[in-house]
Amino acid sequence: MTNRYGRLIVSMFLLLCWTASAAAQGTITGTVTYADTDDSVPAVNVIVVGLNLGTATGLDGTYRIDNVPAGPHTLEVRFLGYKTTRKPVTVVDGQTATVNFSLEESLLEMDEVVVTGTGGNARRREIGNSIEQITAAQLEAAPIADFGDLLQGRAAGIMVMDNSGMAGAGSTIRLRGNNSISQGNEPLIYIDGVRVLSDNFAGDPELNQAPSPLNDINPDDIERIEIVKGAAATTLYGTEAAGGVIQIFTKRGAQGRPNWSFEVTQGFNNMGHVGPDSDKTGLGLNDCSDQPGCPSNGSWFRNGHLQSYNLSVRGGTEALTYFLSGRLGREEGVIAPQYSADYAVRGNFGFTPARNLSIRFNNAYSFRKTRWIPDGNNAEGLLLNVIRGERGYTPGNDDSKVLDMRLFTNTNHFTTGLNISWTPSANMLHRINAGLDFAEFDYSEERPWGFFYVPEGDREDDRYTYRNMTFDYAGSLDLRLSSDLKSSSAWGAQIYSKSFIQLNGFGEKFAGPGDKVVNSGAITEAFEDRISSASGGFFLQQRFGWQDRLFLTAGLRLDGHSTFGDNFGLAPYPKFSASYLVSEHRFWPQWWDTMKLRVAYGESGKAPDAFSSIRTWDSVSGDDGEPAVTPSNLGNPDLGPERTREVEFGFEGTLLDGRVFAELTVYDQRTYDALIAVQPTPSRGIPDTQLENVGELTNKGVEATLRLTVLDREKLRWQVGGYVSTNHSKAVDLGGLESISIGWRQYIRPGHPVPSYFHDVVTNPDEVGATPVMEEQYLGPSYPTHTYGLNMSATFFRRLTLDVIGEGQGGHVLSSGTAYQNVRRRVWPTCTAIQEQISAGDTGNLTARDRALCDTKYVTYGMWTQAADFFKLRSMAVSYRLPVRLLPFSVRGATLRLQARNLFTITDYPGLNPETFEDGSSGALYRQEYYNIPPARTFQFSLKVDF
Amino acid sequence: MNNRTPFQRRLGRAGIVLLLACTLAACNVFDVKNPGKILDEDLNNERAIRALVVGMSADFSVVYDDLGFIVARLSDEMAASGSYFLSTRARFGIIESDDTDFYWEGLHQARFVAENGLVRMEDVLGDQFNGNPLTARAYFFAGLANRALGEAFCQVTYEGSEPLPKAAAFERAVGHFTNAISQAQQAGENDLLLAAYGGRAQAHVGLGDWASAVADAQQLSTDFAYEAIYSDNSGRESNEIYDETHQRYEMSAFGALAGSFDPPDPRAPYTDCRVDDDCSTNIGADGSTFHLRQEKYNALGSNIPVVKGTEMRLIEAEALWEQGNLDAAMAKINEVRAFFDLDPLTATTREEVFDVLDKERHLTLWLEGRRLFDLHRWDHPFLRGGGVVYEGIDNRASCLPIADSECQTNPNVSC
Repeated sequence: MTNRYGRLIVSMFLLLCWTASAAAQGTITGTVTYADTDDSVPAVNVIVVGLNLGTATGLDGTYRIDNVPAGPHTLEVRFLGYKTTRKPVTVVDGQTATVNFSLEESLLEMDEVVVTGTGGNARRREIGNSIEQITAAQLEAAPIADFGDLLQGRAAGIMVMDNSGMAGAGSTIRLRGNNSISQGNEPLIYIDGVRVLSDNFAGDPELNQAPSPLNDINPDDIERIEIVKGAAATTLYGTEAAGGVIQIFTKRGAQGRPNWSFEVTQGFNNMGHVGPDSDKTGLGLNDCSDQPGCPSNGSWFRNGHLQSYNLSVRGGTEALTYFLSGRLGREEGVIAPQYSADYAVRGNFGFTPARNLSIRFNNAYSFRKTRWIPDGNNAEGLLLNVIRGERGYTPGNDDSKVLDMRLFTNTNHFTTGLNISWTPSANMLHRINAGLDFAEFDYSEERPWGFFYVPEGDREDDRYTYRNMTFDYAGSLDLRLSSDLKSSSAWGAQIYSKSFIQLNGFGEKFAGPGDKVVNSGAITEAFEDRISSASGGFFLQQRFGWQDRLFLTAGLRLDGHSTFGDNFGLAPYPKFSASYLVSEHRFWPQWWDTMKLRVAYGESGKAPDAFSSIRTWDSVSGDDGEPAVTPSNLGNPDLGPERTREVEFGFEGTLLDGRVFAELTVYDQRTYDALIAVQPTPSRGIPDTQLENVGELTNKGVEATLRLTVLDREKLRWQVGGYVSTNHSKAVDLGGLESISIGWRQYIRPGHPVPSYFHDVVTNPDEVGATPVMEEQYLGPSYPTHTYGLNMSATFFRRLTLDVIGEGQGGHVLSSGTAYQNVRRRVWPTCTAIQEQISAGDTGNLTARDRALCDTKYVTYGMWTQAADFFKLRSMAVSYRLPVRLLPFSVRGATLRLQARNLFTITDYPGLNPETFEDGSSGALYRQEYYNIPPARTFQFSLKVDF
Repeated sequence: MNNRTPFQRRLGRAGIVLLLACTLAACNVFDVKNPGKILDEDLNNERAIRALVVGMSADFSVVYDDLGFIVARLSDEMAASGSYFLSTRARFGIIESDDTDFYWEGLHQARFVAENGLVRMEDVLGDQFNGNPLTARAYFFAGLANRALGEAFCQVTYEGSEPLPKAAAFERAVGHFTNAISQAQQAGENDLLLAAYGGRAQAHVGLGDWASAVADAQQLSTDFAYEAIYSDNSGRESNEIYDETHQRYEMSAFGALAGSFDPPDPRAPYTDCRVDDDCSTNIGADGSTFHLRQEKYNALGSNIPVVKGTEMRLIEAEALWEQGNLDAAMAKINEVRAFFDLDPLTATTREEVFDVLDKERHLTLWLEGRRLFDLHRWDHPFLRGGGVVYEGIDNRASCLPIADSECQTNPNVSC
């Protein structure tokens, strides 16, 4: 089936070809340095304002611009996190002028350029929505074990939950919470303009966690990250962007001799006390010395060694620049033999074949091998068997037997992208991004011959292949309509194609011991799944700027998608925004440096699943291997995307000579035509749910950020900051359904957060000596309704820096399947005394709540579904820049870092850990803790040398 | 030196863009592919009918083993010694609408696939519809799904109707079995013919029509058996009861009638995992109940009987008991016991004979998904607080309530 929108989009593309040319004379040279350290700043752009002229500094911070027309000009330097600096220069015919820049740090820079969701390059002052940026310098200030660590605790509205303490496990990432019931809530991820796989890889019930493809990104390759959080900002990305967009920009080369950088990191993962404080054995995990199969150190936990080695080089000439990097890492989990080992290489190349043409070719490959241990809701899981003690499944209570199971994942991940920027004139830009993200993920699960649970053994091997292709064209034209009024037009077209291939093999009943393949089994099975789909769209955007202080923007995105029903046309997504730099008026007080008011409205969407619009049957087998069919999908030819409409407004500004930064955003999302898996009336015969555009959800919140430079002196530069954000989702209409169960006693129900816990709890908790009266009640949202962060950075003598990040999440509840199941088995420490009383018939002084929690006759999951608020010290890092005079001749710089992660947790949650999650696959909407390894602590030391 | 005119340059650029556009269109960039699926209209093909009918058998098997699993835990067949949420409720005799979606939807799918498939078959096969063995088999599964629906659920609905009594399902089953008998006779399919008679006898029992039930039952010899097919060929085809008792420990014969025999009754075989090294554990998933592992289904591919001659003898016995002909009833019961090489039993009073009949049906139909309906139609004392290992509630569930998914989508039904 060919989607008719393809031709339409391609036709639009034909309209988008422009030509122009320009010329110049003269030369300007100079150097760009950091004001605080006098170190040179490589790869920063220096441009001649108003002319289509500019260059990037080389590795030594120097620059040279030839053929500048004689006469007076203004030079401008923009660099993320630093004040935009302009300097006048007069070029004399045939002579060279020298202009040096010294960049000062800035908490907010209105002229810094952002590109994510803007339709072209845009200055922050022109943007009507909030946007978050994270720089490489910020990333270096905290230990990064996985992609979630890049984002965690950084900014308001970004929620990252560590799901597991297993090395290599992915995190749950949400931008402004949940606004979709059925189509996932993960943000889209772009790397250098190429869309990459953002969902976690497939999980498996044996390990109950899933590795994240985002962990394949080498953190040391990242130059900066831009994050736009809601539909008001992601409209131009169209269908599938309602969960927000995260764009990662990797490092580039720069002119000059090769500049090498090498970093070595050593450290360990460590698990603190697990379970109730009163139990000194940590549920038999911290101390298992009296248990069969216990490791020789007397604990199931170890200090898991972690190590990584990063080497990179950047350099180039005027025509060609390069950035090459390589990484080798290995991280051991806190329980042997779990580990995750990886290597990654990157080659970013920049070509400048003509003055106004820039070509970048970015390539990255990574490989990761992870050995997992059986975990979670799994009769062969380690924690389940250890924590249940003699009530577990292992013969003779020797829980080490479960570790005979071999669980491996291997990932090959390749991303390549071509970025072409053509500026035929100073006011016109054409940009093409084309790229491929290809990932191959292999999961193998083997129970060896003689394994206690399946004595004859079995093996499963699942191979997943993901291919994402991006083609993105965008153009922009700036025109000055009058001395006060400026016009910026943008247009573009995108095509995105994805395919997914899954091959599964299963073999069981081995003839004997030894390494196996699937076909070693006497009985084998195979499965195959192949799905491909594509989307395409184009956009138009017009912005007017008045006196460079008031900006009005309107845009429209039109999208087609191959999964839309035959009766559905193009999906339109409009956007409007305004930003107003009120601080640029003369009446504005001097002490209040900058103040931008902003408001944005926009829509984005989520596409239905492939083939949801068509009535289909599945091929199955029956009658012992005979071909058969069974109903699959009812089909809905009217199926379209669900759309999220968002309004956000707020302000951002700095005070007191840039020492105080404040930002406030209020957002209000409404998802309409929400895709709901509607249950057909079962008695009509086809019970499988069918996606229908019938739902409606709301999602609201406030995000506030405050950063202060408390001191800025030679001896001490001290910055503190914090943020708080709220998020309240609500199901409004489920297309007539009263309730949608998503498992583990969590539901989507009108009038309640998406999703929420409902279950039986005691209604007479304080009655002494009474029988508990149990009743189903609303227990709370499954996701945090508020997050907050505190951070501090103190630099002493410009060499020694202490960085601290703390984060809290709360307002939600979490069900501890661990506590509930152990209570039922009479092996949960906090219930031991009460259960002894109950066994003795001495219940007279027990409250109904005591019995509902601990009496096996009454205990429910609901009673162990409790508030999961927590605060964690996410990271603490001490960095020391060694004085150059102490370094060998060829070494330009060296930094020592001592870093720690998840140092401590403050929580009243009674289960294992408030972040622990039973299903690490990002697509899961529910949250549940069930014998999962909690997030671990990390301590590491690193040395980075530049030479 | 570039000597092209501006127009030529623009034309060249337009050509490149056009080439790119044509390439994208030719590559079918906007295709959506999912090759494992079969379009509905593609089944309107004579060659696809066999797969359609095998699908009827497969869809019935998919739900029937799960039905046997829940019936065993809800009734007195097995101790619900597991850790599943439903196991913990079933052991007390509790089951509610939001527990029964899977069984309700599965049985209705099996029914719909057969009934709707027959409409498609008639259209596609034309003159070849009547007398076709596939037609006979399709009618049989339509009857079987309705019989199971009637036995398992307290009430039924069809096509979004108001709740109807169980009898509606049994009457529908009788109609389908009658057609199956006719088609099997025309096709010369003797096994299917006998199975259809047996199925109709079961449906007549559901209706309380003992004369018709006996008339059909008498068509079957004691050694006849027709089974729902299971296989280790694929996970979908495997027998769930085996999986839940051999690879998990969700129910046990400990404390149940079957577990009281040592050595086990041949109709209800089990392994005592307390003394047998073959088991990987001796305790159920509840962490406390000894695991007496059923061995009636000792492999993933163990079939589950749906019509048996031994049941027919017990139907005849029950009909005789209803008539007060107790000696004749015991004779029929002992025919069954003789078939299993068991010693004959004696009973003289109406209560004693019923007690024997109760136990004999219990053991003969053990783990075949039938016991709950016997408890229901007999208003069995077990329903009043009875339990296996765990003490049950008074007024235990004797049938499954209409599923929550039906209540949410059918305006004629409320839960």
